[in-house]
Amino acid sequence: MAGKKPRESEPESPPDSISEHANAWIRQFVRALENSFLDASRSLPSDARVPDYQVATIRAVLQTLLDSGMDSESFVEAVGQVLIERRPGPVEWNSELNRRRFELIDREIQETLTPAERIELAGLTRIMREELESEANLPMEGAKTLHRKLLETNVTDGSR
Amino acid sequence: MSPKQQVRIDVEAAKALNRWKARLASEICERAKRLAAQSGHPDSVTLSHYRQVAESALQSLSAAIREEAASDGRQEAA
Repeated sequence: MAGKKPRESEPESPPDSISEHANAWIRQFVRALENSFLDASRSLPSDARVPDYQVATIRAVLQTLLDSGMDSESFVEAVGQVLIERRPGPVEWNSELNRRRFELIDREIQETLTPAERIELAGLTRIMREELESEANLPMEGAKTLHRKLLETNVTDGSR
Repeated sequence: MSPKQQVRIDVEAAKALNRWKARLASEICERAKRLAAQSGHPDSVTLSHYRQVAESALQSLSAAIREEAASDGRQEAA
């Protein structure tokens, strides 16, 4: 499975440990998920099979994530992103992904987008947005120049 | 996994089991965190810490389940 490149500002952490907060969150989530699944399973017929359980599980996962504060659009984007990340190779915004995104947008305008493509488009949009918002793409040089000038102005004013 | 159609499980029972699992996990995590802090490593909890506190956490869970049952019995009697 392809992984995302870590953000430059992310602190290094031991590879075989997780944060206490992550541990507590996932335990709480799994507990809520199991209860959601049990509620969703009430309506299953007695002859339900694994595919029925899988759909009930997806309903429970969605409900639990919505209950945790995620909105529907973010859910679709995240699913799309994860599916794209499962493709071989690193997931970095590039011309190929950009071309595919425009292709899907064209289909959306033509109203020929399939549900699977809608999820893919949402995932691509999320990856693109993360790339645009990453530190590497922030106009740091301009900000540094402005900061330097402000400091110089402050020193000049203070010396009067 | 194959569907087991012979046995039906009350949702109330399944949710109780879920609650107990969560309680046990929470007890182990909290006790292990305290133990790690006492042993001079407050920022690192290990499997060894979990093993050391698991038995007392199980006893705590056992007491909580008994209390839960007694409380349910009192409510039914009232």
